[in-house]
Amino acid sequence: MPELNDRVLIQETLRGNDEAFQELIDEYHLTVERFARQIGIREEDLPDVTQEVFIKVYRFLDKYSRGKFTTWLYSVTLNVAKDFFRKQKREKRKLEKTIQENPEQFYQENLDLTEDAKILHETISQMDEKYRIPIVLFYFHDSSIKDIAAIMSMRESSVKTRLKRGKSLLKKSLEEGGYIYEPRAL
Amino acid sequence: MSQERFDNGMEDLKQFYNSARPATSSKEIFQSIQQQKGRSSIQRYWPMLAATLGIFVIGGILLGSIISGGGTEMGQSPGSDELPLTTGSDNEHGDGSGVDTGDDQGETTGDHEDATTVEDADSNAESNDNDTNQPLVVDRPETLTKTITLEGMEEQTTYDLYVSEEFGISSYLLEGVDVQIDSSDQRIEKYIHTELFHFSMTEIGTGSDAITEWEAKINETYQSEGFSKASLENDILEGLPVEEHTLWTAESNGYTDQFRHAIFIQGNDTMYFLEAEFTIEMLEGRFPYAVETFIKELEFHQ
Repeated sequence: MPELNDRVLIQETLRGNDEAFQELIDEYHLTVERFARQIGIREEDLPDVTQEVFIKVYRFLDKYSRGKFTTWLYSVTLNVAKDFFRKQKREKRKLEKTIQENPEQFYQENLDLTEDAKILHETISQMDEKYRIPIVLFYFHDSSIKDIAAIMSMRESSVKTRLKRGKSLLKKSLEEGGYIYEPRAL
Repeated sequence: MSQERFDNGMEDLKQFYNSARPATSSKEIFQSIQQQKGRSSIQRYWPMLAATLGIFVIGGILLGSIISGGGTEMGQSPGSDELPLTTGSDNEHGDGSGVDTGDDQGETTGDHEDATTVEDADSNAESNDNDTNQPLVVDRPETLTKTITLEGMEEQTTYDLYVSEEFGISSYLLEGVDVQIDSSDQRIEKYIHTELFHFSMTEIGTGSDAITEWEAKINETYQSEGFSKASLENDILEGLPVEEHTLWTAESNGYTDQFRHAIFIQGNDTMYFLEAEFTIEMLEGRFPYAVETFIKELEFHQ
């Protein structure tokens, strides 16, 4: 009953029990970190982003009232990551470089992947985020279409379409040994 | 290509991601939150501390003057020269910056940095005969409910009354919005929603010259950030009752993905610049309505 446990921990945190919040961090910091990495946050920025996510969660916990905690947590992570990209873009105008450099660096450190997994990893890291985020949530975080729609503030039908297109991009990339075809319109 | 090959590849990749070496430690995250908490507690409670010290100082001066036989009659009770901004019963915007003269120390909730405690507003107002010390806003309801249509479905949205004494404004903010104030250079109020959407309002000066000057600034800045001017026609925020309104858009990977609104508003003699930015996903949700409501409900007070 992870959801029930989350609610208990949230209630305890709101009553001032910091150990309960520590438990929430223990439970979810790796999930946040993985998701942040998969959507394009650089390795060296992961601690800052993960920390920022939990600071926001702690700060807004009294205002969180509806839905699954994990859905909200993914949503906060997504927004912190996007905010991070925007800030970087404003300050250094290096958004594209940031997104593309990171997975390469991570990939080079981890060479024990199968050939297909390598192609998929590279294709996902270069995909437009419209496809990348639903693909990451669906395949690597076991999120339902309903949850993804809530996390991304979109219609379920749009999520289904993006998943379908993302999946066909990945399959095409596998077929062609890593060649990436990006459609230019939604 | 077989579905099986795709599924196996994705499963391998999932295992690979899940076995990656952690880059963060839960202990460090927790410690940083504790440090942050300590800092914000000081920021949140210092006005109350300062007010309490002020009362002691004033009390000391009064006592000194009585002892020294000054004999001047002092009609005001301690603390009556600082009044809460609103009259109401369940405002959540308190941060403890109001002066509390009662036994109940006005438990502070929420993070709004600009509002004051409400609990003692009525009793304080009753004891105060000076018009200049009346609450800034007395006739606006604490909440506002609106019905909006999202994806063909009607949704009830609640907005909370927000009063900024420094800006001399009141309006309504979507539930879950927090306010951050930056007074370092120009006064800027940033309205941040739980889901991290935000918009901001900056006091930019007086007269139309202020707008001209700022327009030149934003033209330069936005263009350097990759934004270009777009048509406001058919935009959800088209036709707002403001001085100037331009829409700027930016592309990401070939798609128009960011929509930034630059809005100039005049209140009394002061000009304000409001900036709101949406991603394409946000345009399908409640946030554009939140900005629309804030602007349409905006009232300026002397």
